[in-house]
Amino acid sequence: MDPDAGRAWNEDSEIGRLRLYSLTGGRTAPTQPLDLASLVHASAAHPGPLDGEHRQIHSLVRTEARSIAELAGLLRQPATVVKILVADLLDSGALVHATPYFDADPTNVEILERVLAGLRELAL
Amino acid sequence: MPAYVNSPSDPASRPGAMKILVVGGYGVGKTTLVGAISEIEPLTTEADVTEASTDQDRTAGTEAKATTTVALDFGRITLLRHGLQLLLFGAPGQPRFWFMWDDLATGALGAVVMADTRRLADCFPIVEYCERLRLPFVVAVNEFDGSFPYLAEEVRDALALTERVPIRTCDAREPASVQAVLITLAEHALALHRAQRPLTH
Repeated sequence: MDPDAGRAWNEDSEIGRLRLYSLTGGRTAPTQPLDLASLVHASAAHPGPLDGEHRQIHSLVRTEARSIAELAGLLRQPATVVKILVADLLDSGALVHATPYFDADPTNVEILERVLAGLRELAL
Repeated sequence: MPAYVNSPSDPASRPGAMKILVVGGYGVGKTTLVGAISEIEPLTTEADVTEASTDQDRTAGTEAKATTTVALDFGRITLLRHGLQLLLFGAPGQPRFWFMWDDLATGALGAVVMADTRRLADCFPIVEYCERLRLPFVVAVNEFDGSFPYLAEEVRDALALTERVPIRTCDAREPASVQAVLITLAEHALALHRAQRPLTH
């Protein structure tokens, strides 16, 4: 893993802005709605040839589902950019939404009971 | 291919995500707390947030909005057996960052409001905001070296918290201490939602 992974991305440079622009092909919005907590993982389909950032994302979610927030932190790119790239991969079928076993609704009592049980079981 | 693609009946294989917010004034230990319990190296996530206009006499539906980028601490706890990823977001608590809360609080289980007893006033706006959003929250008093030991009830009085809001002291560096805070938050959220559930059956 990149030793700098997790360090805040620095947007205060012209090069940084140009790079962002080229990463997304100048796009500023994803083709489908995603938020920081959206979980994605690689689909069973072979993804075909992918360019650098798309390939990085695909390989990060091959063995486990990760959220947009985590991918943005790992890639050191703003979440907005990662949403655009993830949406590309969802559109092409290389990634799929992790469809949860149950709806993770934080007001649902059964889900909260699961959270509580899980936190109590946590071996640190 | 990941194993979970083929096991749709196993919760662990089909995870959902739930957000937990960690908020407090500058230097109160948000990054430390997230790092103490996260199973991954804590990350910094640059998120765009929408700033709603605070113009008091705006007309409904015509709020001016601006977008700003903020840095959030990010950490994760996977509750494997329960098919859940808890996503921890450490967010700045200063009033100038309030605008991000609407985005972050949507779909969140609740918030840990971190308090430094030397600067309790930093918590006022955060507590007020959680109450307004009806977001379950607990107050975690981070015990620093040299911080003045307050009684929970003194903190409750100072922050004008109702009896229901749990207050805990914690050591943000200690995983078990942070775990206890999150358990308290989950218990509190559960109690609130149980009380709100309509008695239809």
